[in-house]
Amino acid sequence: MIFGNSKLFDRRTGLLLFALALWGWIGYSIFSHTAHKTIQTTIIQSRTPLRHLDDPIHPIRKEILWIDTLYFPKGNSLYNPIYGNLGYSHDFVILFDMDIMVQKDIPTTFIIYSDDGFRLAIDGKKIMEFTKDRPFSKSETTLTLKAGKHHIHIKYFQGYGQLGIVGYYKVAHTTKLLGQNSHDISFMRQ
Amino acid sequence: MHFMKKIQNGTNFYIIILLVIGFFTYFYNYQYPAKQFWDENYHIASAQKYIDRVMFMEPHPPFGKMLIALGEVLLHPNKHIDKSGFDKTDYIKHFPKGMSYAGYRLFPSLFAWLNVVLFFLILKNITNHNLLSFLGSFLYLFDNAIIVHSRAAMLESIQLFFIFAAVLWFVKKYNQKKSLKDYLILGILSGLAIAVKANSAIVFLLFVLWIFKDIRSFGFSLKIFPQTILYGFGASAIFFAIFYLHFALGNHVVDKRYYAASSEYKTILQKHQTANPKYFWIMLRDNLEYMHNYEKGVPKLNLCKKGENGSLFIGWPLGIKAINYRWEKHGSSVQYIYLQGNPITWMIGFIAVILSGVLVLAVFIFGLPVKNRVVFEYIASFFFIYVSYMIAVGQIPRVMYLYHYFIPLCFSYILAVALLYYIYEEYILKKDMVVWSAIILIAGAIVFGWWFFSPFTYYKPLNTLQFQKRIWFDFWKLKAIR
Repeated sequence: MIFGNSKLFDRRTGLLLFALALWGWIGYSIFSHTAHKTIQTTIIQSRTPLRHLDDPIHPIRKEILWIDTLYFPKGNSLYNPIYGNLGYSHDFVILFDMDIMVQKDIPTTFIIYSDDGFRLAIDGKKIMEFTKDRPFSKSETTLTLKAGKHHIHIKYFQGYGQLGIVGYYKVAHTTKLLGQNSHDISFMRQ
Repeated sequence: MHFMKKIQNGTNFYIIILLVIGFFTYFYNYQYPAKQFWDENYHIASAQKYIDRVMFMEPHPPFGKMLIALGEVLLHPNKHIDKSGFDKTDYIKHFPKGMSYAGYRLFPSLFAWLNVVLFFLILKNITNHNLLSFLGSFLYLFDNAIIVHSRAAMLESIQLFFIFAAVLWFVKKYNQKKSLKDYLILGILSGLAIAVKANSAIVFLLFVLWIFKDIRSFGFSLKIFPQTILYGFGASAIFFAIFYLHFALGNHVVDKRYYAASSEYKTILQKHQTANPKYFWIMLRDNLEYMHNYEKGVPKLNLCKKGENGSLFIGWPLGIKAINYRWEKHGSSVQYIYLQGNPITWMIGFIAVILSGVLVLAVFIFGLPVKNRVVFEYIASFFFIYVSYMIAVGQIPRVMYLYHYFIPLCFSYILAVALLYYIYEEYILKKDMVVWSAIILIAGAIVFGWWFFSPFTYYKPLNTLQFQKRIWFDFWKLKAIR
């Protein structure tokens, strides 16, 4: 076997880079499509129309998925970057459950964009809500989270028309998607 | 040591290794699942008619179905099962309980397995390098899409076998002065491929390329006429002989199912004269007319249709679109048979086609000097065949599917190895560490890609999260059953 000369780049290096790029592509593709078990997502399709967050649900289909971040962008059908088009478009509810670990007492702002309504509760206590239908709009509230473990529960509903829900939190001027760790708050994987 | 070196340099050594690996990727447990998928409902119905000597007409030429039937006759795993219902339909809706697919799937799986050897020999003839050809064969050996489609009672692996055989003959004799017998053999192999599926007609271009090569190498000669006649004779003799067998075997009618038989054909059937060569042309005319009309009746591609499995030919090189052949849910996990290629091999094939085009244009338009004339001519030839197939298939109005890309895909794999050899010949021969490390890394990536996507190929269970890991591109249209 002959080892290469000292040239930094030649055709051989190109081939080696191509081979490494293939492996890089494999690694990136698998990593970027792997959802960690951070946010439990329960989707319930209702047989009857939903026009209010607390309307009775008559389930015809229920499924549980795990997602990394609370990100279902505005659109005509429920979409998530990991799962692609999930096939829900009207009259359904999603329950999001996640556990967080807070390092120290810290003021935290929760920001929810949704179409239609939602309710956010921490450790069973209602923090903010918008219970009726609406276009994709923002709600936010600030509270001080105590150090230690907390459970976040979000209930979201979609009636008809466009839909979507995206959740953020802001600590110390840093805004992150719910599910993304920051210096003071980490999301616990199941 | 000398003995070991001799073995390692020997083509036979690599063939044996490839056959062992190919046995596990293509052939092992091919009868599983014992459930039909995709076009098996059609092809098994047709094959059974040969076994029961029932007359029928079909959109595809008969040879593939005959071999599917032969597998069932040889293994006869269903001798205690009543399959007479298959003769009364062209699409089997309900298969008998406990039916084995070992017979019907035997020859498609067997040919797919043997294709590994033909593919290796093609590469060996192009590069004259055993190890490179061995590693290059991984492109075929570990392609999940070809594997999954071949382990079924379908036609494509049989078709590829005869196409590979024709290509092997083409490269073997390419640089030699060819005899009339060589042309006849190429014609026979072409005829066998076309007798399985009509889109094998692309192999006619091998003949054209041979003629073109002969004229350039040896000048124009009147021998071109007997060569053409013998090639045409070989192809048509096989094609017609297989159709003759098709007519002779279909000597009675079930449930008054005459298909598009004319009154003359009906009379021939009533007189049990289907094996009489005198009536061959009448029966052939009716069959070809049926095939033509059938194709006209196949729906066109409708990308707006929910659940459309068809795809546009320009998307095939990128793997658009995968097809869910079969699934079965067990609790939270689902078993799949998915027509989904190994993205590593498909990407290599796609890049090879682009680079081949660049090279060919650079030589013909910008006058780039040619390093290795012989290998360059192979690259130009197979690139020409690839492009011709894609242009031809683009003219077909009926819906087409991803597996219609298998022929150009295999040509793209040949291009990949030929191009690699063309660019790095001196380094490959010098055993340059950088180049060989890269080749081994690429071969490893191919094997990893096959393994990672193998649940789609071998009906292994996946939960939704595991499935999602495999959706590298939305445009593949892989969709988990939830």
